[in-house]
Amino acid sequence: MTVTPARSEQRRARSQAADERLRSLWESATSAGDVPATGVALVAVGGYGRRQLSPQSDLDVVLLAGDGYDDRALGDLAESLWYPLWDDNVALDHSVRTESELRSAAAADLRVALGVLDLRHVCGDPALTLGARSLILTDWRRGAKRRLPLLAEHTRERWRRVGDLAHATTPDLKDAHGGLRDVTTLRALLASWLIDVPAAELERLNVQLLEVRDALMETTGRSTDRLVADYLAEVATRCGHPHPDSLRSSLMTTGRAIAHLASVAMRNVDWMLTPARASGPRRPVLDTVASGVGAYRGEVVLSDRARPASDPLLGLRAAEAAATRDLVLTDAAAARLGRELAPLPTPWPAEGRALFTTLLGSGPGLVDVWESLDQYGVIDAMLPEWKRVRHLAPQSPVHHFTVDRHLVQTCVEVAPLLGRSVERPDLLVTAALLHDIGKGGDGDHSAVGEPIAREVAERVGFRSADVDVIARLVRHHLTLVEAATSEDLDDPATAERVAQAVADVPTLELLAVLTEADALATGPAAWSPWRKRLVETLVERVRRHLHLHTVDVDGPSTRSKARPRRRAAG
Amino acid sequence: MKLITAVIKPHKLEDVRSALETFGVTGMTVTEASGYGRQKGHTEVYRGAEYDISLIPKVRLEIVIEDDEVEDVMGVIAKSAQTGRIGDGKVWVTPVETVLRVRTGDRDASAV
Repeated sequence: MTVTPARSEQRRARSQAADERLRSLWESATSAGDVPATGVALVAVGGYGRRQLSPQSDLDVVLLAGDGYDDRALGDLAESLWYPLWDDNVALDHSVRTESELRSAAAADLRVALGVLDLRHVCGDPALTLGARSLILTDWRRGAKRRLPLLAEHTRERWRRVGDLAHATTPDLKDAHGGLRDVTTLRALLASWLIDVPAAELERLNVQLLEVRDALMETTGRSTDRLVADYLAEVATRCGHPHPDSLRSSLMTTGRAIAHLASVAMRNVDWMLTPARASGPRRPVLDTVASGVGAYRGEVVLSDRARPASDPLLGLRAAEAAATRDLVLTDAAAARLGRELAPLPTPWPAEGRALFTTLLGSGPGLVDVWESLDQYGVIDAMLPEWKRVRHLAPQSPVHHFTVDRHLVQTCVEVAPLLGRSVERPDLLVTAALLHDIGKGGDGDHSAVGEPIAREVAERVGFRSADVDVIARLVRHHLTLVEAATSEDLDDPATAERVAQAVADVPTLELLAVLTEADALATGPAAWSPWRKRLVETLVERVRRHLHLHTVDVDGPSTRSKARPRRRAAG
Repeated sequence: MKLITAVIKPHKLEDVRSALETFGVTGMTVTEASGYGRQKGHTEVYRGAEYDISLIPKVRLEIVIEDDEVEDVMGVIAKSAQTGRIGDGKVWVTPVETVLRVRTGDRDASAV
């Protein structure tokens, strides 16, 4: 990420200019002598409190009065400060509070509590600001054990709602997992003295995100945090990136790093709140969940018997154990696997294949485990083809995620559908992971992806007939939707063409589930009741066609199963 | 000006769009729609199997055009959307009071 010193300086200069404006207004308001000079102060909070005022940011200020300050004088002072700013169309986020009101508001509302942790004196009585700041920090530290669980709950709810910054096609620079709000949350954890966060690293990442957010605000001329595709090119230029993809890639790296710090910090909050054992050994006692793999307090770790350098299946065992139990694969375990794990032999042994497909079909637990493995290079070692799609922006605006995240999400969406009449879930989840692997180059990605998927499936150790099915699923993963929405379903030739592509009923059933999971993982628009109905109608007709006919996948002809064998052969 | 609304079979969208483009109609709104007309309660027989048809997927096109183009555009849609089978769809025309192009502020004919 290119960070312009000038833009950092501009944030500081903007804050400085705002300070000066407020001081000048304060001077005018208090010089007449009607307002007592002690016991009242104007303080900056939030981003303005941190001297990080972005081009379109609100001016977050609190007019703070000591308890017992004259109400009427306080009201007059507030009016003489706010009105000139309103007249100048300054976006002002203001409040007037006594010291005890401010503490009560912070005690009642977590967002207020986080905002006032950055409280900074602007003008007025500095002793009042100093005292208030000290009390607010003391309150925060004193109540942290009680309040951090709620903070963790709100944070995780926001992550669920907004998603990951690194994998979103339209990243929300503020509220996404890995966005600026996570930075604020991490600062609050740091201020609690209960959770450690690498502060210098956090600030470096924060400045990188602010750089993009400021450039976005400069581009749009308004206060916005969503980097929509229309603005990407201009924001990239403003940030000194030669190409939008370079901005996207560096933004994803930053978002991923912040998300990682935030996830680790939230797990530490969970840990801190888990009561220590009253009796028994003080050292951690692991539940062995697989050879060399243990579970401890909601996390999967490598045990002292783990030998990654001589045990190529250890990574898959640890990942499968974490994902199927919905546990976290620890950072230390993923990092060690990345450093030491022996490469898998080619083809993979049957146990490796079974672990891999169970991992892919494990459901929502897969997402974080895959992300951890990918961060430390374990995926690259196992699946070098993943580089093609990592952080790749999709071409269609219908897509919700980047291509790599979409592939993982398709596996997640497949998991609950495996109960249907699917004979080979292992082939289905492998095809789900690989169906868009051909993206990122020229040509039809289904056609490009087919030989890549074939190569991966062979390496994973599937037998030849299974490799053919996986390759066919990848080649035809759009066939059902395309045929259902653009061809005449009443024309028997449509069902016949699709039947030719899928070859047999078991493959058709796999393709039907893959089509649904792919659409569900794409975004809400891709699996409307309208599309679902069309695809289901087509599948029913193709199924019927396949039941009545034998399909020759190498040629266009079909023959009726009802015909006598002698004639069919002829 | 008139608003032409057409509900057609999904697979006919490309044919209709391309025929309209050839005729000179370059803009339209396309929506996924579901419905039924005279075939309500109709059971379709396909290769010996019966299908109950309730709400059938269709696409809905909306086009605003000048009054004198109405007959031609309806003809183009009807011709390119026709399969001759039940459920080919409907086209209807409604009067439009005024049109505003949001970007430029143009009104009526110059906004279409």
